Parts: sequence; structure tokens; C-alpha cells
Amino acid sequence: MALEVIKNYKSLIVDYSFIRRFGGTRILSEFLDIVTSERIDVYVSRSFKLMHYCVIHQADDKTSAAASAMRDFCTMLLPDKLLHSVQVTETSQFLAKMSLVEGVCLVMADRGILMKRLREKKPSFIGDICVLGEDGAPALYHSIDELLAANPEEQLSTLASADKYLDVPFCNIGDTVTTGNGERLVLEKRVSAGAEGMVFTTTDPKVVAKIYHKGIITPLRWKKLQTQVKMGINSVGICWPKDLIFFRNVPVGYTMIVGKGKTLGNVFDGPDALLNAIPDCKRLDIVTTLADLLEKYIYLHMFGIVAGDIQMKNALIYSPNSIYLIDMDSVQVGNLPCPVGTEEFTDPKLWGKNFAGFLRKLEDEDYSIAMLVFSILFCGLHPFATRNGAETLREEILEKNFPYSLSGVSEEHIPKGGYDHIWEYLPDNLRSMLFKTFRGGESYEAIEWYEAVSAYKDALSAHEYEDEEAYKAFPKMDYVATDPNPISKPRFTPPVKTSNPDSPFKKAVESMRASETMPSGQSAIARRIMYDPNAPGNNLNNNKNDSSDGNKGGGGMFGIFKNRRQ
Amino acid sequence: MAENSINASDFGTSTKRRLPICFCLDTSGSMMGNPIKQLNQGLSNFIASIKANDDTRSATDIAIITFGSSVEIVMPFGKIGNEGLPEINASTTMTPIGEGILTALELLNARKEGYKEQGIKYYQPWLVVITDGAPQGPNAMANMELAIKACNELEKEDKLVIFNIGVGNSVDFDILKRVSIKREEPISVSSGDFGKLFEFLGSSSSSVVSSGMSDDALYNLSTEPEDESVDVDDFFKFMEE
Repeated sequence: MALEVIKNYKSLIVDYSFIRRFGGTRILSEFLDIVTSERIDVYVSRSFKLMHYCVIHQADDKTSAAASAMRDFCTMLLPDKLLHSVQVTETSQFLAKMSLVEGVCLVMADRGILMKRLREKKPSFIGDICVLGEDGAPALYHSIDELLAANPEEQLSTLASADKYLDVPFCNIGDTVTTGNGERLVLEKRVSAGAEGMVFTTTDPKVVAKIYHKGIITPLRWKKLQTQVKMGINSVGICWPKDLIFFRNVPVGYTMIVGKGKTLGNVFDGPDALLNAIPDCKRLDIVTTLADLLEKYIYLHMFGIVAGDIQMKNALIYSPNSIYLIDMDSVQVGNLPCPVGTEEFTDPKLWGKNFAGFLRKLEDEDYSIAMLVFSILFCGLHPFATRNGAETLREEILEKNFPYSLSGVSEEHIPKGGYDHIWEYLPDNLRSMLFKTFRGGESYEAIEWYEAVSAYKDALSAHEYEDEEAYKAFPKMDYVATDPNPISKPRFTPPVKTSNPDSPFKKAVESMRASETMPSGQSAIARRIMYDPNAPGNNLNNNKNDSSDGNKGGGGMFGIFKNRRQ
Repeated sequence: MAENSINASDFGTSTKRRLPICFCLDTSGSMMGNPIKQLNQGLSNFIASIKANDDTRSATDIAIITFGSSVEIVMPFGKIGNEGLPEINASTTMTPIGEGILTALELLNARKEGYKEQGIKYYQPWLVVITDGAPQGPNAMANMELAIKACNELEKEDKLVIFNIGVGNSVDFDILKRVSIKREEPISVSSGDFGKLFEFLGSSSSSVVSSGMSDDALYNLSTEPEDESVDVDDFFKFMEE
């Protein structure tokens, strides 16, 4: 029995990584047998349950055992009153509290969120730590220092600094490519184009193919794709690389599941854009979208991934119940860094650094998560968008010119348009967390944001607020759609996930139907659904602004300019 | 002259960081005929492509000024509608480039003040000057010197991105070059290339607002990747090492 060692303790702390990794295996059943027969007390933090939600909501077959594992865990421990939930979420506070329990041992898996948090925060903890490796073999440590010494931090891959790129053959519509599995796919229609490459539909209706431009496949990129494909994350809302793609035996790209909708940045872009995309959008829809996004990012964290380049264009929204993370080929996986990022969403202490030159920490990601929380709750507004403020956004960020206050005074710097009312109607704890983050420079773990946002969502769902204004996307404002152009199209008649007859998604579909016979003018031209092969006008000619042309690898456009004095 | 009163409705409700672009276009007599036709066509394609792209539609802010017999604000900021652009016509023998640029700078400055007042984030503005000749008319040279000085100061402080573009062979490239201290040489095109020029400006503006391309990159027209290109065998060999 590998887990005999836990018999020596009267109390155990179980981290969620243990359930996720060993759910459905004999290790978990062995653990439960020992705990019940020896009557050992088991303590979990609040993040234990929250992380479980993040996992089961992904419906990933990779983690399908987690649901039954949790059921076993609870049904075996609860009746015997052996399971104790400690009402603390943050890692250091939880371990500080648990240090008061005599003879306690922390049980965790060797990789995952907690290992990273311990390394980054170095919290104080009195107790032993039992770390289970890939095969379930336990290693026992008597302190966090000892644990960290035995499990050194991963070093940045040397591939990250390679200044080489693969000379790829050009492939386009009609070409037959081969996947890593030997499957042959034909590129059918180009559905989008960006700085790095183009996305095509293929003869396999379940996947699209991303084909890179010249100069984009570096050793780092290819190694990362190989690793990602092996990891096999398979959640509907995460457009994870599924297989590699070769053309004439040369790597050219990868396949992924089809995401649909518009980017968050184009939907969460002030009242007009939001209400035109999701007519009758309510605060609950906004908070549902945000909770869903946080669950996805936390889920990725569990696999040792740091998203790195979190921003409003790296996710698509089709409806508040249907969100897709995209551009997953840039994320940090293990020791393979995320080489990109934006100033607006990145912790200012990382500005000016070469993003390919270091491994990002979860703590770095916490800032980007806070940015995302604010940006979604405020329908696209940047926390440092300030009236009559500094010359540049950069200065506003560095000076922490957050125009909102907890006391409600001197709020004349908040941009006009009803954002002061959004702030006014937020739950107190969210206001406090946002204020402390953007004014005070404090940091909250992603799971803490998820907890606060989930509570807000529950309160809205349960209609806990008396003031009806609290349920509006823009409280106290009377915005209406100016040029309705709902994201969800009736032609797909996709399954409506919610049974709520008043769901904004359904209404969006209905209003779309009603207006279909009317001339749609400019909005019909402007309408564009990424990755949606069936969208009208969504072919290659619609992508005149292909940003690749302004970047390396795009080429072509500059040939016209003569250097006058050659 | 530039309007100083700020009307909130001219700014829309988008929360996107804005890129204000002021076109400053030569409509002197030498532009008559095909060049002005090409210019109109290029400009309207540029606007159409901005409007067709979700990323640029609400982020790009455009104004158009012409300089010919006088300086005219053909389209102020925030007035881009569905009805399309007014037709630009060429006339007369005068080329008040300096006055045109000074008016453009006033417009850009007023727009920036508007952003600040509204709490809208913005990228540093673009001034796109397109001319086929040299400053001509009363006080044209003196005003040109003032314009050059103003442009140089703003550009030096990273508060303005300048595209100084000469069309054809009659351009006074020496004076046009002085408009920018960062661009090594003015961009030189033939009027037949207006289409490509505006496509380039469109894709560059899109790169700024959707990929966060740095302003410095706008002064560097090189297109080849900087790293070393290797074939597939070398690539895999390298990865294994």
C-alpha cells in the first residue's frame, strides 16, 4: 500500500490536485479506505469546491473521472463527519490557518496550481507535505522549503531563444494536408486571417486548420504544439490544438475544434456594441460570461499552463453560455514560454521584458485575470480609462490612476456613459478587490476572483437585489440596441442550452428572425463571424485588414514603394 | 478652422482605444484627372475596409483635410457616416501644404483633448500628408516652416506618427522629407499605386489597433523576418539538439 504513510497523521489537508489527478484510480479508493478506517480528519479549503466546478464545467473527457471521484469523496467522508471545509480561499491564509491543527499533513499532486503557488508565495506552514508523483508514489517532506528544494523550478527551454524559423511551403484552399495521425484533410474555405496565419475549414467538419505564415514556425512554437497535442485537452470551449499539420512532410500548422462568435473585444465594447450583439443583455449575462471565462483559465492552470496573453480578442463569444478561448498556441506550457502579450493586460512590472525570455508566474497571470474581470464587468472599459487624466494610458497605469473609489467621492474622473453606476451596483467585495488591485497594487488569486464573481452571479440568479436597476447591463441607463446585429444566427438553430424561455440568446435569435426580411444595409457588410464557415461574406475577400501585412512575414504591400535615392 | 467645442455624440460609445488619423491631401491643379480619381477611389476603399473590420470599425477615427485653392476640412472627426465620402476635387495653382498641415495638427489636437475629456484611451495620432508638388501661394514657405517645426516637435516627443507621401516626379522631396524626423525618406508612389498605398495604410492601422504594433514599426518598411530561415531537416535536427 503506497499511501500507508498517511496513517501517521490525525489530520490531512487535501488539495484539489489530488482529486483531479487520481480520481477514478485505485489511489483515491485506497486513500478513502485508509481515511475512513483510521478515522482521519480531512480538511479542504474553499478553493477545493471552486476548482471542482471549473473542472466539471469543462466537460472534458480527460477529467471525466473527477465528478464521480468527488461524489465518492463526499459520500464516504461526510456521513462520518470526517470532511471539514475551511472557509478560506487564498493559499497562504489557508495554510496559516491549517498550521494551527496539530500533526497535519498536506496531500497534493506534484504538478498543478498549488505547487506553483507554494513556489511563488513561499507561505509559512507547520506540518508535513505528502506529494504524489505521476505514478501515485508518495514523497514526504517536513516543510515547504524541503519540498521546494527537492522539486526545483523548471528552467526556461533553450528553444525559446532560437533565432531560426522553418521555411514553410505555401499552402492554400484546395491543398491536401496530412495530420500527425496520418489523416488527410483538404483545406476548403478560408475563414479568418491574422498576424500569424490563416484558418481554413477542412473536409473534417469537426476541425478547422490553422496554417502559419512564413517566418512564424519557430522551434519553440513547434515544440509547444507537439506538447499541447500530447496533453489532449478536449473541452468544447477551449480551442486547443488537436493535431499537427504537415504539407509535403513539412510542418505548416495544426487542427483545432471550431469556435464561433465574435471576439470579446468586439462585443464588450460599450453599450452600443454590446446591445447590438446581444439584444436585451442583462447583468447576469455579463457575469455568466465572466465566470465561464475564469473557469476556463483556472482549468488551464491546473495543467501547468499559464495563458500569458489574456486579452479581449483571445476569446470568442457566441452567447453568454457559449464562449471559446482561442489562439491557444501562444500559451505557456511547462517551460515553453508565451512570447506575446499586451501592455494593457500585462502586469506593468513585466513591461519592457522580452516575453519569450522568461517563464510567467501564476502571480503575473493574476493581474491579467483582474484586468479581464474589470473589462468584462464594465463592458469593455479599461480600468485606467480616465477623464482629464494623463497624456498616455501607460502613465495612467503606472500611476495607478484608478478613477473609482470605495467612498463614492471624487468620481468625476470616471468616463461618462453610466460606468459610475456599474461600479455603484457591484457587490462590495468585488468593489473592494478591484479597488485594492488597481489602486493599491494588491493581488488576488484567480480562484478568489472566480469565487467573488460566482457569488455575484448567484445573487443575480436568485434575484437577491431589491433594486431592479441592479439587473441591467447598464444600471440607471436606458441604452437600447441602435443597429441590432446579434451574434447568434437563426440559420444554425444551435441547441439552446438554457431552458429559460427569456434567455437573451433566444431573444437574439428571435429578433434576428423578425428583422430578416428588412434591408440590413451597412450592418450586413460589417457582420462577420470568425471561424464560422457559413457566415455570409465571410470569405477571404472580407479580410482586407489582414494585419499580417504590417508585420513580419506578411510581405507584399511594401513592394510598391521606391526608395527614391537609391 | 478646428472646432473646439466637444460634442460627446461625435465620440460614440465604444470603449476601444482610438487611433485618430488625419489625411492632409493635395488638391492642387496638377492632381486633376486620373490622380484625383485614384485618390478618391483609394480613400473610399480605405474607409470601407476600416468599416468592414470589427477590430478597426470603432477604433479608427478619421478626418480629411484638403489643400488647394484653400484649406478645407472635407470631413471632421466623428462624422463618418453611411453615406460615403464627399468627392474630392482638384483645382487651382496653389499648394498651401503648410497651412494644410497646421490645420490638421489643430484638428488632431482638438480630438485628443476630446478623448481626454471623455476618458477615452487613444493611440498617438497619425498625420498622413499626400502631395505631388511643392508649397506654393502667399506665405506658403513661411507656413511650411512653421508646419515642419510643429511636426518635428510632436514627433520627437512620440506624440505624432507622420506618413509623408510624395506622388509622382514633381514633388519637392527635400522639403517633404523635413516634415518627419523619424522617416528616413518620404514614401514615394506613383498615382497608379494609390490603391496599394491605402491598403498599406489600412493594414498598418489594423496592426496598431488589433495587434498592438509599435509606432516605431510604422517607420520601418522592411518586410522580411529577421531570423534565419532553415529547411525542415535542419529544423528538426536543431530541435533535437
